[in-house]
Amino acid sequence: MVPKIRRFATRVGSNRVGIVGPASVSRVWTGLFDLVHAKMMRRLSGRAAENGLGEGNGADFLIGRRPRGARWGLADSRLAPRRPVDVILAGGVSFARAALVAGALMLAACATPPEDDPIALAEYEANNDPFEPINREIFDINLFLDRILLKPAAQAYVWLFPVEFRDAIHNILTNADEPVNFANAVLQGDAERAATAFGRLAINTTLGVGGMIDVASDLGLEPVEEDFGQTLAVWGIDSGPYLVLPIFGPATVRDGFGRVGDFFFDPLTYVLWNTDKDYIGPSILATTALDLRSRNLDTLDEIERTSVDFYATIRSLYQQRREDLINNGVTLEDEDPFISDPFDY
Amino acid sequence: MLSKGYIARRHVVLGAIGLTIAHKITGGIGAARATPDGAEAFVRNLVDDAITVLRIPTDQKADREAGFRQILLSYFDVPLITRLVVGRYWRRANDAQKQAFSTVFEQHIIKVYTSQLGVYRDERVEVRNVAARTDKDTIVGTEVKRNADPPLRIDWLVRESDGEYRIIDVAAEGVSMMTTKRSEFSSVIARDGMDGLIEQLEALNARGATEFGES
Repeated sequence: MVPKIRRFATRVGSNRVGIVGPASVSRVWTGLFDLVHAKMMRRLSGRAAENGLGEGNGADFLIGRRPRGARWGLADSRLAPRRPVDVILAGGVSFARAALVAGALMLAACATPPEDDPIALAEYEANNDPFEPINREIFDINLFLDRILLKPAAQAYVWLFPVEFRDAIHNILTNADEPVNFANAVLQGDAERAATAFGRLAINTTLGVGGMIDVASDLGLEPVEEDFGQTLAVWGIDSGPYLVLPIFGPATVRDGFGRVGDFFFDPLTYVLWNTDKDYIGPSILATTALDLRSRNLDTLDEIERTSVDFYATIRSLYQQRREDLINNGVTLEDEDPFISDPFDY
Repeated sequence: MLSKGYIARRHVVLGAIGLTIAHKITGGIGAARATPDGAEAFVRNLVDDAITVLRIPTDQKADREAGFRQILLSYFDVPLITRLVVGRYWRRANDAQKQAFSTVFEQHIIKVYTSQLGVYRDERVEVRNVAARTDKDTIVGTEVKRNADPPLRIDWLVRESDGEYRIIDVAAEGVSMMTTKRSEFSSVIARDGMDGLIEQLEALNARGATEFGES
């Protein structure tokens, strides 16, 4: 195990010039990384201490206090990341470690069902969120990351580029996703949606100049959104508990697996595996994140500003939206968006 | 502080909206029994009036807010929504709490709509389909056709009682306002109790007032 970690650490610590700029810029990233890492570890060690995972036992290792003499770990300044890519990779390592702590905490601090209060118990079950305490922690960290990184970046993106350019980027990204929509529509046995996804890909790639212009929508082929999480649901697999994933945000166990599945349905994955230009993948990922966040700047602000419990609001929005996507927006007749409205009180 | 002229102008706008609403409700329904057609006409009227309010520029927050209040009170079954949004905890609340909650919730929901609905940009609203849900409830499915973005699906849950229609829930792209707010509120009640929820809503409303009022 040690050589593997060291190999990765060496890679993370490599001193190549980054995407964003030379060493001076990298130093900013490094500083930022330290800031996030420190905050995250403080929170997690606080949580760990609360739950009796204090100093002097295995938890030290998990929460990133480097055991004396050990040479691994990103807290080691010699291995401090130097490129944006490294920050992301290092973030991944931190989160992997956070996930280990999370796992330990889930066992220790899984929300206890309020057995003695029938109303609270019914709400608890409706929320489908047994990991709420740790989910809230990760939600907070995600919000913090959003505030210092993603949101300012998305604001800069909106400020720098005209809407026509941003729309073109959005269309290209959407078009690149059509194979995933197609594959999942096929797996769900939905011929109509599969044909729509295929038609959109064909039309927009050619007439739409590589996907820049969404000609297909004008021709009546409105976008369909199918992913493997939805496919699993159509196959009858239960959603599993609600989860907040580090960086990626709201999910369920099923949707988490769905993400992995879609990764393999995406032709880009195989293209990227067969190229040595290893900056392309992260660039696409970053652009996707910028596109998504820039399109939700006002909406998310408004929702946060008008919520007494932002976490609970986002959880409900996510759960309802996913349910709607699984049902392909068929709300009348057999599916009813108001099904969970209470009418008996 | 608001100037006198500002208040006067606001009253003119509201008076106009109030009149059209009153006319449509009394003229449109009469003593007829609830029908899907009736519910559809009701939603069409609501949409027309909502567009009138949405045309008010966003910097005139007080006017918009007052317009939304008019619409809320004329088209929505506010007492029922207030009860349902607290969900299972409603029965446990005492009268003082119920009263206090009704007041802050009405204010809150107006804030939500005022801030979440943007300015009207010539979107067209089309009725997609209408379906009876129960003998009293009808779902009216509408689609907001936007110029650049894909159409937005909005479903209205309309309930008829005593020959009058009232909206009890709205869902955008399958996300119901009632379900979302109830989930949020019950989470707060479970943690801080009914009084905690009322306090937090009051604080939120007050924050909104200082943001909107002075500019």
